[in-house]
Amino acid sequence: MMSEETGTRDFSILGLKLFLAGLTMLFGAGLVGYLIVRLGAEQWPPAGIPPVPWTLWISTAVMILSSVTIHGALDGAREGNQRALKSGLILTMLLGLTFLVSQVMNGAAILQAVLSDMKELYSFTFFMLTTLHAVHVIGGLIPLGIVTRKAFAGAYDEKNHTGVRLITWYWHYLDAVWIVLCIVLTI
Amino acid sequence: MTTSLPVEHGAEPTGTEDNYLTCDRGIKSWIFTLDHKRIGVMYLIFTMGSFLLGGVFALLLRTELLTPQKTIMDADTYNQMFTLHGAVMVFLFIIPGIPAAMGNFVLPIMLGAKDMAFPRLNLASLYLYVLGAVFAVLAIAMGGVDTGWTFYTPYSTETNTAVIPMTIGAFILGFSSVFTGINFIVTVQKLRPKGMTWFKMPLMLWSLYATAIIQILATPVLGITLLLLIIERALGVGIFDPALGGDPVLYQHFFWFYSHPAVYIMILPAMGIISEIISPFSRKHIFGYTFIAFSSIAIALLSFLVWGHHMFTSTQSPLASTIFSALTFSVAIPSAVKVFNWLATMFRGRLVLKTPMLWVLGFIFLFGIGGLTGLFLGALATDIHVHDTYFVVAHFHYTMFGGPVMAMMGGLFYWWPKFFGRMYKENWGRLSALLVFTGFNLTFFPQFIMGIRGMPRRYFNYPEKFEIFHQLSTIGSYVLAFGFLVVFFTLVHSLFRGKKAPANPWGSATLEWRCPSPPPHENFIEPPLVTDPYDFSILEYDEASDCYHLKPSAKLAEDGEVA
Repeated sequence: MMSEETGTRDFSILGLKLFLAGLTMLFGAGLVGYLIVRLGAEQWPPAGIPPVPWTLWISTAVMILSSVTIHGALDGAREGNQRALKSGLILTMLLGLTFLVSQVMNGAAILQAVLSDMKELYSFTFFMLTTLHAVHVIGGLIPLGIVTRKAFAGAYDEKNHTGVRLITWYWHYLDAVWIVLCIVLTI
Repeated sequence: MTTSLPVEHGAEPTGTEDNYLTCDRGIKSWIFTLDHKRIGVMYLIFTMGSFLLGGVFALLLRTELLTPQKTIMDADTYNQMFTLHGAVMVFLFIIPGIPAAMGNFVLPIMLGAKDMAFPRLNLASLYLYVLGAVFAVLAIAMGGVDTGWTFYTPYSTETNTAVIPMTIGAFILGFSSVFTGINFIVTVQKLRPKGMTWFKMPLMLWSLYATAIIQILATPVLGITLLLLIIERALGVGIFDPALGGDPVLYQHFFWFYSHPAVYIMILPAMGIISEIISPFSRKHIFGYTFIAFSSIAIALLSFLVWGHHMFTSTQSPLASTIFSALTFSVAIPSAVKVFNWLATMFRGRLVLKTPMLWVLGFIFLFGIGGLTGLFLGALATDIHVHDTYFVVAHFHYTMFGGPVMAMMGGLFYWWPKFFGRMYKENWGRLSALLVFTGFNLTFFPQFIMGIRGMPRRYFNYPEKFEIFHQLSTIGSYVLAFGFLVVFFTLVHSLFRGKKAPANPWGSATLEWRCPSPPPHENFIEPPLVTDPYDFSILEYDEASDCYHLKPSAKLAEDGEVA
């Protein structure tokens, strides 16, 4: 028989994977919608409007870096290295916030380019995809904050760190989704 | 009979009373309950309330259609009535009805588990359901919606009715559905007790598992579709509205990518209930267990590939339509596998024609008609002829009412003794099943005839040649309503005057009948012996208590095996 502790851990990881499968359908549908609009347009981007800002790649770099730092936190938890765990989590939080700031700046650049015309499909689809992703980043920062607080309270050790595992899974997922979105938006 | 629970271990509050209904009292013990049975009961109450609401809309509709001209309401109100009837029935009643209400109650017990894998998530999904329902009711209070339950653009972008609250409601209900699905899959995979292998699981669990796959993978697509619709309406962005440069067919693709799989969210658990009832009421092992189990999974997977058959007349390319048509026919195969296995189960069985079995027989007959008329709609040429006529209305009521509703009623009468520990009046139950069956056929069979003769759906007025069919249909709907009144009184009467139910009144071999009726808070005091769910030879009838028990020899054999 599984102990209560390990049992719960197994459950929540499977539950998270199923949730991510659902999210994949959400982002997938968003991408399909984007591609249909884009392929149906006569010119993309529309005449007189520059392509998406190259600073999207800054966001991408920040996101990838945050994936590295959160993995460092997980490794720290596995090895019982509390310092690595805490610093990894804190760094990830800061990078997550930086990513959001960078996204807001990208959004502002797009708005400027289209003369604040949100109804125009080129900018709208951009906002649809990036906002959808940003909402999930914000949704990830909340549990990340909880995990960080628990880490500082000393709640995790080598054996018991389900919370860290869950948030790491989720964060890597956000990273992967962002890379796909960024490639589709920029090419 | 067990009258008291032994002291439980762990931090859970220990009840001294005997079952989940009485172990804890007060309104707070219900609002904050984590017990899957109580959550199931609350879902049952809310979905039945929605069923009543949707039913009232239906009766108003049918009354309006008594005469070819205006009868009791004007055309705009009529548009709202059919929209609200559809939206309430689909989103608030049938989709959550069987999985969330019945599935929540029976899944862990049938599996031999104490609760769902994530009890808190389960409660959260109930609250999301309630929140979604509040938005739907708000939409009704704000003057209703008149777009049809599908919210097709450009109707939904141009109408000035309360589309936004209604779609927000449906959006939130989607979350509830996803969480329920996650809970079901994790519970089935992780909480199986010793001895409960995949192929010893009751077929209801297979079908709920298949349902959960659809809930998790299809619902998010509806989410983003409705979100885009809301943004389009609120900000005037032209994604779907052709007047703004959008593509209304894109909306239809997105919508049906969810909503076609969603009909299998309705029918798969219904099929699970049929498999559960038909075997004990034929006193025979289920025929073709593996085929029924895998046909559920096959239906779940195929359900994602057929959405285009809703759009044969929506400027889809002929090639795409042909492919969707062929795929649609392929769904008939696993569905027919189930029906033939049920018939083979009954063949040479000793049929026990009690109330649950009558609903099941009704299901097989009505769903058979629904399924076969579906083939006419899946075929391109005939579909174009009968598209958007009453033929379609009759078809989907035969599948969606003749399927899930008949099965849900069957399940309700089957598990009622387990839910509330009371037996209902058998003859009243039988009468209600007969009334509903008769009323249903009287309501919807004439609609096939009308439809094939060209009566379009959703029309307020109609030529006089259709009057007789509409009147028959309306009279049928009153009979139907009376039938449900009898259902209601039979069940409510049993709560107050019913005989106390034994643990296993029907002689079923699945695990939920091994624990007392109603079950104790933790379902099983010790892990139950897992046996073949349809092997009735291990049971013996005890006349004194009118109850079936596990034969002592079966217990010994099992113990021997385990040791």
